[in-house]
Amino acid sequence: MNIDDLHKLKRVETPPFLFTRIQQKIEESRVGMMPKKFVWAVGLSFVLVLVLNVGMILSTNHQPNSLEQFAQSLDLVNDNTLYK
Amino acid sequence: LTIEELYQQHKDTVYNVALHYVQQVEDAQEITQDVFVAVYQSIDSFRGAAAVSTWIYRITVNKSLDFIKAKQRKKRFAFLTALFKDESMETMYHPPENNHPGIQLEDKEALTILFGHINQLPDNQKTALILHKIEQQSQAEVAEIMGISVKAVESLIQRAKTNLTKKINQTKDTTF
Repeated sequence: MNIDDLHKLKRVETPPFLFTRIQQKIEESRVGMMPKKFVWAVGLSFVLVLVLNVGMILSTNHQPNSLEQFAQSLDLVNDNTLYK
Repeated sequence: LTIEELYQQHKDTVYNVALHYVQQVEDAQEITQDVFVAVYQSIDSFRGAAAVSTWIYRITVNKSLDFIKAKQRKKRFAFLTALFKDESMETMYHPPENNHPGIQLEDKEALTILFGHINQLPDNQKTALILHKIEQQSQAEVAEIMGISVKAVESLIQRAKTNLTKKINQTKDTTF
């Protein structure tokens, strides 16, 4: 026995039914797979919603109006808390 | 090229390489199926930087190694579950019998032992040996398939041969 014994191996032919099985597997994988365009569209819409939310939060940064500033200067309580 | 054309051109190569890795008809058929499903799924991303045959060889090697690793994981899991069950190891562990259809009856004993030794080699040495010695690919082609230099392939083949020769001599010593 030596390494050159490997040359004695005969080449084998693929069984004829194999391609049908491969086609079946491809079909199964196709059903489970979403189209790339759809995946991108969903991803982009999520990013868009996130960006809009962050934008809204930043743009509506709370600035006290003149009445609130007046109340604060007199150290008045301007919320509805009755007991402190 | 359609998947059917690719299959017709490369089916025997894929099936035979898979057989050299697993030496089991059913396992080789499963690997062949996985390879062509992967080829179908990634055919759009194949840019033709390498030859189609090189690309398919590469997928086959990766799928075969993945298959062996998955099988070993299953075996380890079976071993662990056996520890917690009241069953002996003999009932849980069934070493795979070599049923490589390319082995002729008169060579069966020698080649079964030889494949047993090849299976113990590290993955890269095994791949280099299978592609060069059995598939008759040149060292340059093996280098391209494995994504390494020709010198590295040369070294892998040399180490694989040395390891195999050692193992063969050990077998001879224990037999006689």
